[in-house]
Amino acid sequence: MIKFRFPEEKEALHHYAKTLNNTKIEIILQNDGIKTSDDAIELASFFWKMVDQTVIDADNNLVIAGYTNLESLCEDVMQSLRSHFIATGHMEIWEEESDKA
Amino acid sequence: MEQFKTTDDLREYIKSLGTFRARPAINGEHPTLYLNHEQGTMHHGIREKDYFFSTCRQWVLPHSQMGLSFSGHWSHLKNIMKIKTKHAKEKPVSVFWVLEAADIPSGLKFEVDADDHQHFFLTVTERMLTTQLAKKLSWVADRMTEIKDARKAL
Repeated sequence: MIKFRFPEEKEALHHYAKTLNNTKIEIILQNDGIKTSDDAIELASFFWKMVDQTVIDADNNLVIAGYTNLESLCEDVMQSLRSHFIATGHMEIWEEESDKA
Repeated sequence: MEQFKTTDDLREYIKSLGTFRARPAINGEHPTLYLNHEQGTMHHGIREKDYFFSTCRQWVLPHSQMGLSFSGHWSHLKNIMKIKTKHAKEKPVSVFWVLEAADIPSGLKFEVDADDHQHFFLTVTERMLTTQLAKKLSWVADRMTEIKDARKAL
């Protein structure tokens, strides 16, 4: 289970899963987190695409999960995801995907 | 103040620091306080989500797993730097750091995140006024060393 520190983190992930048309992320969230290595690759890769999209949305003054600037919310989401990757033994995948982003 | 041209240079420098606590900041941002309300509710520059506030928000109460976030490892710092760099666009991003053993004001203490040992909270250990915490965080910022425009090294 992904332990989100703040509810808006999950809200943002759901929002961007829809915006970026990624049903795999919706399934991972519904399943309470990573179950396989493929899930881990998908989620880590998705997170960095989400960060790119938050930059575009900030330029367009969009309000996402109650925020116009999602910089610190991205850091909060990253922290919750890192903790989940550590807890599930997938930190190596997190590092690899993060280095690609 | 230090400047680095490559990731390897920065990584080796960071590793040479020993047990450091670091926070990147985009040019114009404060290293330990938030200067506007774009990123949520703030009290005297402190993000409401970061600390355990009294209901009146005039006081901050001790909590060992709540506090301003700091990186305690190159790998964690690199992740935060990446987010900052993407949001900074063309603005410089600096890394501000202190040694774990450095003097920090009374009532503050670095605590490791129980779920990620590369991440630390700058916690409060005693009940204090929100304005007092803001002053202490500003004091810490004044004593942090800046690695200027570290995004060039990523």
